[in-house]
Amino acid sequence: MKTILRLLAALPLVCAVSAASAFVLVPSHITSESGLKVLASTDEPSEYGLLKVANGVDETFYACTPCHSERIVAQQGLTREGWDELLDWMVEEQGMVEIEEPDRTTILDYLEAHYNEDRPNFPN
Amino acid sequence: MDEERDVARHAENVSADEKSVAETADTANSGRRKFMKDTGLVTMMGLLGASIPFYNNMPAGLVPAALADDNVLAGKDGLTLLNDRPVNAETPPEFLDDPITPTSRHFVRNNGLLPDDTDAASWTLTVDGLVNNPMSLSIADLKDQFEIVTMALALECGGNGRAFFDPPARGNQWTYGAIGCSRWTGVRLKDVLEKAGIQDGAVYTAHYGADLHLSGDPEKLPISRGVPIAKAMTDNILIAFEMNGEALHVLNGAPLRLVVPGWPGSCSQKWLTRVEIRDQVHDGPKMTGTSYRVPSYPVAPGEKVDKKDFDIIERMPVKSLVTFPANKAETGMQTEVRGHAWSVDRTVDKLDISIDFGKTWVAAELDPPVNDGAWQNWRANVSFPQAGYYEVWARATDSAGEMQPFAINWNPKGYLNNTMHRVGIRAS
Repeated sequence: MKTILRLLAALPLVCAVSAASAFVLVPSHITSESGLKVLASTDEPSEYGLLKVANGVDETFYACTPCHSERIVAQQGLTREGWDELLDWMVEEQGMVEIEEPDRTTILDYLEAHYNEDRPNFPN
Repeated sequence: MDEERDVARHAENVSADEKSVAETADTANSGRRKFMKDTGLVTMMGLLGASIPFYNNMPAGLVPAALADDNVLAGKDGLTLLNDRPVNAETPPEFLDDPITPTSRHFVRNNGLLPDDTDAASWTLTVDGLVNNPMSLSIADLKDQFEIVTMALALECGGNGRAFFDPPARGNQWTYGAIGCSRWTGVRLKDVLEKAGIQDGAVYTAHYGADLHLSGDPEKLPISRGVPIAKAMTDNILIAFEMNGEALHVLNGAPLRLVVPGWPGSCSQKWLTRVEIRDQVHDGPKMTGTSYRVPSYPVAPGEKVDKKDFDIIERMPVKSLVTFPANKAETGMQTEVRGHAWSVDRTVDKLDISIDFGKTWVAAELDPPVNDGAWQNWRANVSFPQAGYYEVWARATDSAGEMQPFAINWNPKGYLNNTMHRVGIRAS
């Protein structure tokens, strides 16, 4: 049990190195709509776990998962204002490092689009 | 599934329960599969350092042999994993059918990471603050110095049922299964506090555990809640070291925890290291702000409420579950229907069921609690007038005359959803 937790904590750090250059490294089929359909049909897991693969997923995944699983993100359905407050709470109460711009706006754009109150991507 | 959910979400309050019917079976059937298919698999691939070419052939719920010891839900059976870091998992209603909840089927609600060291032999509980005799007790001391009691005690997360709030409330999206009633063995908190000698001016307990904050900051506590002194001195609150006759499961607080039945589960500190007596309402993490609080006046769904207008949740309201048959079951033209009901600081006086969408009701056979703090088991035989689709609705009424509502009393943080449970059945 302790082993898995430590490894879980370490994974994002390992991946963060490649994330910095993800813009050029991510194969184009992953970012295209048709590529997503292929991914879904083969059930191949995404490196972003449950999070919807779309613009901003990389910034969102690596901002959130140093402390907690992306599963708790994917369960939520909040307005942009709700997400904004939640990020403030993470910084003020939970010890998260402030997210610098432009990442913060990118992350809010992503969460507003894909994890809003209509819950278009609620995990099944 | 998305379509079903959308349809359900677009109707008003009543729809929350409709959605719940649609979701129950999916949750029940796919929990372990979900673990495999989602983060569980990603994580496993990371840990294995390899992809799994025949992944699509793997039976649902199979944990790779190389990782068997690293299953985040090791020792649990059939739970739906909501979150793997921190671990949060609930039990589908049909897996809560036992009169006493087996350890393998008791839900898990963690706020932080598991302690590094959970060795029972070296564990120490400190009792201090506004007491005459501050104490430092090993588990052996607890067993030697106080009466050991075993009680069936109902524990429910304050956010159980949050998934059906519309607009959604933030937090783990529990559906039905953040409830359990296991048999706990320990000593009474009351007896320990009496020996410590509570001083005049004591107002509240403050509970501390050994779990670690998600940020990794050793100075931060994931959660530290408490209860009013009068509540702490009731007879059904245990400092427990056994669950169902065995050492506690590590996810449920091994080696020592509080069990405060009938109040939000967060009062029942796990990995308990310290009980402090304070001269004010405790202000530890998740005692303040809007955590485990509801507005002091009725609000409309989605309404903004000022922080000063929230009250701390104490007693949890009357509620029940149908644990047999499972949602979406196929039955003959008659069947037994059964489940549990609870209003723990009171008792449940009546459990009525309906098979005609609430038009007519009949009383089920309802057992008294096996002890103060336990849920109550109920059962009824149902005959269906003709083949077709039916819903079994269960509605408990407690000793103060309070009844489970049909629609959610919405509040901003998604607490205290005690709406009726509905189970869809096809009879033929």
